Amino acid sequence: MGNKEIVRMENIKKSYSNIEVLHGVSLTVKEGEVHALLGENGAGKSTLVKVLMGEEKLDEGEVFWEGRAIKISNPGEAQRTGLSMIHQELNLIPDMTIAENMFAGREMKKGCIVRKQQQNRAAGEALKRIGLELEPKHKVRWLKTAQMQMVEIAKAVSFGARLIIMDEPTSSISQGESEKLFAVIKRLKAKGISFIYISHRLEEIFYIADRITILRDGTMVGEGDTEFFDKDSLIKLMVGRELKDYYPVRENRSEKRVVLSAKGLSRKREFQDIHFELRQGEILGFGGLVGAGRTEMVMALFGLTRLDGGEVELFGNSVHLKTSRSAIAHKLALIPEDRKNVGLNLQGNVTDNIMAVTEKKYSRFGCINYKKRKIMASEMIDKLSIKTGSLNQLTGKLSGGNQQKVVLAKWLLNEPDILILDEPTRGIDVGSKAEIYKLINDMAQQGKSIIFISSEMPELIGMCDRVIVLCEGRMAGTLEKEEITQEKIMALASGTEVSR
Amino acid sequence: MKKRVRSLLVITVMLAGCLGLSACSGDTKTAEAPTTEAVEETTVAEEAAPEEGEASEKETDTEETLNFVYFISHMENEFQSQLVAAVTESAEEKGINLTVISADKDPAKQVSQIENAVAAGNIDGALLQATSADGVTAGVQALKEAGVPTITLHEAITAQEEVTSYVGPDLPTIGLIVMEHVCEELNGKGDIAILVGVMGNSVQVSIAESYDKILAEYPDINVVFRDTANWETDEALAKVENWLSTGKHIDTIVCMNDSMAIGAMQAVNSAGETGNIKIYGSDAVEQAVAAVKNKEMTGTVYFDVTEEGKAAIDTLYDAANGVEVEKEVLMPPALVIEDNINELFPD
Amino acid sequence: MKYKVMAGLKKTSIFWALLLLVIIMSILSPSFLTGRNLANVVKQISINGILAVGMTVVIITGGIDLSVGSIVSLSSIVAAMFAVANSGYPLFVPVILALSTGVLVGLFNGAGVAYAKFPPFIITLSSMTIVRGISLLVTNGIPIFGLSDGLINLANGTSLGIPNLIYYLIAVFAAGSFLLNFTVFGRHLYAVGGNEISANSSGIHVNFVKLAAYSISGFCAGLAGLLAASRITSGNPTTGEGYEMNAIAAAVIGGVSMSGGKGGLIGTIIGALLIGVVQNGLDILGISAYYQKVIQGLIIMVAVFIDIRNSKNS
Repeated sequence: MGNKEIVRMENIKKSYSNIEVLHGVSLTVKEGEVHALLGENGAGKSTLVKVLMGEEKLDEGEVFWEGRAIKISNPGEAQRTGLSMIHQELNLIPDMTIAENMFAGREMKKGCIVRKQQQNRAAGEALKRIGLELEPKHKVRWLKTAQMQMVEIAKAVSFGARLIIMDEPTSSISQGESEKLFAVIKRLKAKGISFIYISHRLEEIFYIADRITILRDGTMVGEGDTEFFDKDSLIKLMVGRELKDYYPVRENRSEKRVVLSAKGLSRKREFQDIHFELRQGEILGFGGLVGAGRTEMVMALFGLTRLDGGEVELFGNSVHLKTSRSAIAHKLALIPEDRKNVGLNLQGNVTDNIMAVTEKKYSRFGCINYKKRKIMASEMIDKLSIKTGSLNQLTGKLSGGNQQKVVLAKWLLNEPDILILDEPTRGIDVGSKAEIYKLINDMAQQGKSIIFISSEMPELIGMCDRVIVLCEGRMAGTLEKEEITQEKIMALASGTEVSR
Repeated sequence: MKKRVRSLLVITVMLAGCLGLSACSGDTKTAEAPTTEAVEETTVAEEAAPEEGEASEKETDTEETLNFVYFISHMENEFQSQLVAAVTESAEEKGINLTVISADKDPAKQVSQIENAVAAGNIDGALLQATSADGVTAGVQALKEAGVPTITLHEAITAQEEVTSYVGPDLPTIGLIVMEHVCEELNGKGDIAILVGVMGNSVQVSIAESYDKILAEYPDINVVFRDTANWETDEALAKVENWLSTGKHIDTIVCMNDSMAIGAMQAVNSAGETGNIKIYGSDAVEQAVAAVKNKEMTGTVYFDVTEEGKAAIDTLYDAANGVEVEKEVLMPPALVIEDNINELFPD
Repeated sequence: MKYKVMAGLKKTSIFWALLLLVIIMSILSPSFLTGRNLANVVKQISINGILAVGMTVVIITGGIDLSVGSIVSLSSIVAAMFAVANSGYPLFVPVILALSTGVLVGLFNGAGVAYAKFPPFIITLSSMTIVRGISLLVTNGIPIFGLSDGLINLANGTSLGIPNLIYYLIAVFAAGSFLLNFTVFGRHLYAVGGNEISANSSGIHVNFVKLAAYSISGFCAGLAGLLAASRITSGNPTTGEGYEMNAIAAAVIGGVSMSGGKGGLIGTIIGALLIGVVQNGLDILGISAYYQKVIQGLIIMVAVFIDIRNSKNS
């Protein structure tokens, strides 16, 4: 690939309500290059790409496309220029077919009649060109997240996109699917298409990116070819300090009494015959591919859905957790996978969210004690070092890491014995991740028992005492601390190795 | 894909079929066999016999009991209820089979109700209390084409020449006698306020015209306020409260119905002006009659609803039996005031 | 500092709009700013205000209650039936029955939304027509009049020189504000409206909260019906038509978000006042009622537009 630059952003400045969030950032992407854009949440990555896509107006600075200065004032213009962005929340219409989605807004037609056959053929070809074997007549609803992403990529390519921006594409797909995605990216790269790639997963950055630009607090703090960086130097640049002990050290791991024992947990079409024991002070990991039934299992365990079969014992007593209320009464807590839709009320402020579970506990005769409420909320904010403007800040305006801490605060206030954490660090920047790991570790140290679901294998290895791997709703195997390795988890998760 | 095309085709054909059928039924069956047309012609010529091209055994049946349909605009107030009761009673006396269908004030609904009834057949006469003077012309056409004798009841329509007859109050006269009385009472000089019904409603329009006719004769009568309260008590109450708080002088408030007059009366009462401001309504509902008796209201207009219902059935009965009827059967209104109230409404 | 002042102004823009309108009206008509006329305004908004309080509670949960206008008519009829001067029932009988009528319909709506999972729009649209139908059936379309002085006095009397109606509005407003701001239940209302799934997983009894919200709206409508009967001294099956729209308008003008989870009663009351002032002002100026509708529509548009702009900027 030549050294021809495709896009250059120079000295970009942008303010939101008088607060400058980009202080003169520059970014150059060359043709056929995968350019990683790194930084903690709030560093200005999203704002920068939004400016590039014309979703936000820049206050100062210039954008060059193939050397010519251009002004992009809306996403439509960006698309015509050859820019395309694939958001974390995918923009496909579930009940339309793949082909219809790919041609939405620019249907192939004769008069006012859509030429479906022709459209299907063209869509099929576009998919094949990026190495995808998908039936264009299928509805998007039944695709996996990873497949939807590929469809979006195919759509972008068929639009004639020459620079594709991907915002955390792997945050909600499994490792195997990520590899397929990388294969597609490499194939398109060879055709001269460039990528801006935003991710928090450093491992994959080293695998896929050619060059890296690192942002911190709205300024560029580093740029260069990937080979000049290693994990530590990247983290150091991103957080501005060295992260010793990324995964905290566990002490005092003596086996204690069984807190929760599950036997034969089943729910139709979701998971079958799951059994495990959780001990006091233990961090029990659940690994597996996305869709392996882990989230569904803990939802049922927490009373949000009904179990079809199985028994749950808490501290030796058989219990029936039919609603979240009874689970809460038994001192369970669930930090859900879908933070924005299940974990938080984004329309409510920080205090409201922190108090959501324990509102009754701190009230008298059904009336709120505002003073106490304020004290409790600020105590939790201090304890978890939640960065928020005020107690009345809308949670929707917080960064992902701080939102997750608010969810944690809400549950910790109820002093649970058993914490279920479902992908607690998804989409969270490195700094906050380390803080959350430490929190989890501290809680285990204090004797709380933890169920830890994660699709990031380093996390499972670094955090857990034991890992149970699920594959297609069934238990594929259990790994003790010493045997947890990426390879073993992967083998069990993908069903290539049968459980002992 | 092919399957979908096929199912689309089937649906399209079905829809087309429905449209075609409905067009036929509305179209005096021109598309049908000539024999039917012949039957139709003879029945139209005879006029007296039921005009449906139906089975013959039914014809002998309908000669004994006539089937009338009363298309009523709505049944939501005292007056309407009284009218329905009156019509039903007279129909029973004559042994007529009467069906009442309410359109809930919706002209489009009324038109489709008429069309459905015509399509279903077995209708020997129609009483139509139109929801709107202009909005139901299509329904009237359908009735005419099916040869159903039709009487507009209580409210005349714009296409009045298309129907057999009109039975109802002499609306212009209501407006005339009330306003005439008010102006004379003030000796041709004074300030009045007027509350009208829903604008555009045929009753409202025709009474308003009469008001204006009289007011033109009395240049010294000053209309201080004039607005709609949509026939409703609560709206009239708020409106008159607001008028009174301007401090402008008002001698008399003229309302197009009693519901509004009752609202006006409450506003006047709570302003402590009972008796100082005269209030006139119309329809002589119970509460208004009681108010006139205890001098909270000055007057209302009465015409005999029972008579109106009876006249409607009588006229339609004659028309259905081929007897020539008057184009207009008007019920005379009477002004009800303190002087004659005990005569008309003895305790 | 300047920024803060601007933000404060924006937040209360609806209040300034009301103030501006009051100033304009008092310039146009000298009789606007008289004690008697202001009493009129508040009297006339109080029924809508009471309905709007209940409506706000429901809208905060992310729902809507279209049945309140019909409840007003039915409960006014129930009150009238048991308060006819010669019926001999003590005053508390019609009062209790009218209120329970409202609560009953509210419970029906709430159960439909919470347990049968009807969309709020659909279930309350159904109960709106059902209840209206019952009102007409019960009365045969004929208003019931001749009510006892006790009942008529409920709304029409004055205490300390202030019309009674205003006290009811203040009481309902105060109770509603207390409920929304100072009770656990109030917080739960916002939580459910903000994110139902999150509320459920936090152990909040979502179904109960919804049931209660519609019952509160029903209660407010029942009270409004009782007062309407008293005010027009009759139980009338056609009263209350379109009241639901005015109540929704008041809430929306006051900044209550139709998607739920946001808004409060102060805005709602100002919204109701705004509608009332427009109506009153135009009546005083002798401008046709049809202009009132046009203007009310425009106010809703402008209010929501400002709201959208504000939430975008912040």
